[in-house]
Amino acid sequence: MIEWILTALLSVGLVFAVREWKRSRILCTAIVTLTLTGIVFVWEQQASTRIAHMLGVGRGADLVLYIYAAISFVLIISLLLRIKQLQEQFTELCRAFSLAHPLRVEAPREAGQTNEASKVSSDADGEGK
Amino acid sequence: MNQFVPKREPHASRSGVFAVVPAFNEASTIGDVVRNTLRSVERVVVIDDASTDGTATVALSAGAEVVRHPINLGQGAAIQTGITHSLAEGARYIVTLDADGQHEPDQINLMMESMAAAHADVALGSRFKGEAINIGRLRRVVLKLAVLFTRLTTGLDVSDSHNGFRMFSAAAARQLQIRQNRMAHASEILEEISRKRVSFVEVPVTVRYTDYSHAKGQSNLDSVNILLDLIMSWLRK
Repeated sequence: MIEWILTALLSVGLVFAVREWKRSRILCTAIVTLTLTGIVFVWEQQASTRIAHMLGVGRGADLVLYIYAAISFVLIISLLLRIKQLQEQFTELCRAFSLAHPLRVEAPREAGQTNEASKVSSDADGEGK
Repeated sequence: MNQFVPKREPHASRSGVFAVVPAFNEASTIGDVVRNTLRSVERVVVIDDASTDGTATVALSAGAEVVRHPINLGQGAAIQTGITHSLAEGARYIVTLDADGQHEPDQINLMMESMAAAHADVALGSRFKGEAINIGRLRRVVLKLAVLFTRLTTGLDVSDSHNGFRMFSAAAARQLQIRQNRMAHASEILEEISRKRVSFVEVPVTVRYTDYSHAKGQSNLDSVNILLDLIMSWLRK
C-alpha cells in the first residue's frame, strides 16, 4: 500500500518537473532523474541498499535521505527561479507605470516668464510633451 | 577593436545624446552631476529609484527630466528604465553614468569620438586603462577578479567589467535587454554584448573615489550577490 502512496507523491514531482521545462531545463532534468530514482527505490528496496553500498553509503535508507535532501535543494532553486520570474514581471509593471509619468520642468513659454514661473509637468497630466 | 584610443577630433554634437543617471538617495551630488553632464549631452534622464531625500526635486531643478520608480528596484532596473525612456524620446546615443559624481562627464565626448572612430556600437569605460583615483587596494583586487571572471565567461577581452560609465548607440541599446535588477547588470551587459556580437570599444576614463562614493557604492561583499544572481540567470537557460 505504502508503495502506491509514495509513487503517487513522487509522480506529482514528475508533473512539476514537466511544468518547469520552460523555466529551466537543467532543473527539470534534475527533478525527473531524482524522482524516477525515488520511484525505483520504492519498488526495489534492495536496490537502494545495493546502490548505497556501491556509493559507499552504509544503508539504503541513508541514501534515500540524501536523495530527499537533493530533491529539496533542487526544489528550492526552482522556487527561487519562480520568484525571480515574478520579480521581472513586477519590474515591468513598475517600469510601465514610471514611464507613463516622467517629470520635466516646463520651459517658460513667453518672453519675460522667469524660471520660477516654470513648473513641473508629468506626461500623464497631459501637460508634458 | 577594443584597444582603440582615438586622436582628439572636433567636438562631437550633443544632439540626440541622452545621459541616463540611476539615482537612489543622491540629493547631495545629483545636482552637480546633472549640470556637468548637460554640458556634453542634449538631455539628462535621472531615474529616481524611490529616493526619500528629495533627489528627484534636486535633479529637476538642475535641468534633468526625472522618471521615478514607485519602489526601489535597483540600479540595473533603473538603467533599463532610462534606456527605454530615452529610446522612446528619440535618443541616438545613450550614455550611462553614476549619480555619486565619480565619473567625469567631460569624457563623454571622448567616448563618442572613440565609438565613431572604431565604428563601434558600444563604448565601455575602463578605469584600468584610464585612472582610478583613490581606489582601495581590496576594491582593485575584487575588480580584477571580476574582469578575470568576465573574460572566462564571455570571452570578451575587457580590462574593466563593472564600470558604470558606458555609451550605447540607439541600435545597441535596443538589442541589449537588462533583466538583472541589481548590480549583476554590469556582467549581464557584457554577456549580451558577447552573445549578440555587438561591436564595442574600451575607452580610458577616470573614476574618482571619494569618501562619499566609498560609503554609497558597492561593498566588496556585493560581489557574492552578483555571483549568485548570475548563477541563477544561467540556470534559467
